[in-house]
Amino acid sequence: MATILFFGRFSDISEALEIELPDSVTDKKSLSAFLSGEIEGFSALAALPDTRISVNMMVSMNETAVSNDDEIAYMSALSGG
Amino acid sequence: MIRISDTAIDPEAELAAFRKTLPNAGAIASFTGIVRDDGKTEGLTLSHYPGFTEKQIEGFIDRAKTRWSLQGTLILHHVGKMTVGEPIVVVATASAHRRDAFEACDYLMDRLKCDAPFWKQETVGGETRWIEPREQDRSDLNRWSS
Repeated sequence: MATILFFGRFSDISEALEIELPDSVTDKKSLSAFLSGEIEGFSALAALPDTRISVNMMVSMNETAVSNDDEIAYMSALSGG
Repeated sequence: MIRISDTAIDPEAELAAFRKTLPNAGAIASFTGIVRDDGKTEGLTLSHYPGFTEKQIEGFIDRAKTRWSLQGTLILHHVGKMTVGEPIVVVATASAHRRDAFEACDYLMDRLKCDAPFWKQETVGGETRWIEPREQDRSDLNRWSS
């Protein structure tokens, strides 16, 4: 099971998920496409320039592979301090 | 030291304790961010990504240490609900001379504003809205890119 976490504006549209990824999901890009079909409002947030996606606490490229062992986090614009 | 906690920060006590760990420091610069009273804001709620947020901040500190000569750093961040007047963040840096301490403190605060995995919601009139970095925050951060 993959763990999908949602932070910031993403937390407005979904709780954290523990899901079995379908075979079509192999990387961050295909995961985002899958979630766009599952969660209303997801695709608009995912397309924002300040959105960051981490896999196992590493921010990486869209082509980064994802699997059912991973923790993936979707983060809207960061704002500390 | 990095500490992210849902308990209130006592900046004076924390800074005094930090100073005690640095008997040879010639300069300590610090910044305290406070929930501003603008007459409208009732409070802020901050969240973070436990584990990842600390890891990112460690990276900022490592970067600061390559640029300035530092003897110590302190980053304390409050998360959860807080009201007007409460401290949100304390950043302190210690060095032999003032310029390193000033600039490193400024740099770390800019990284926290735009690059640290925190999310901030403001409550006004019972309604909440997300707060995101302003253009000025991004411009401040860009000062360090050279």
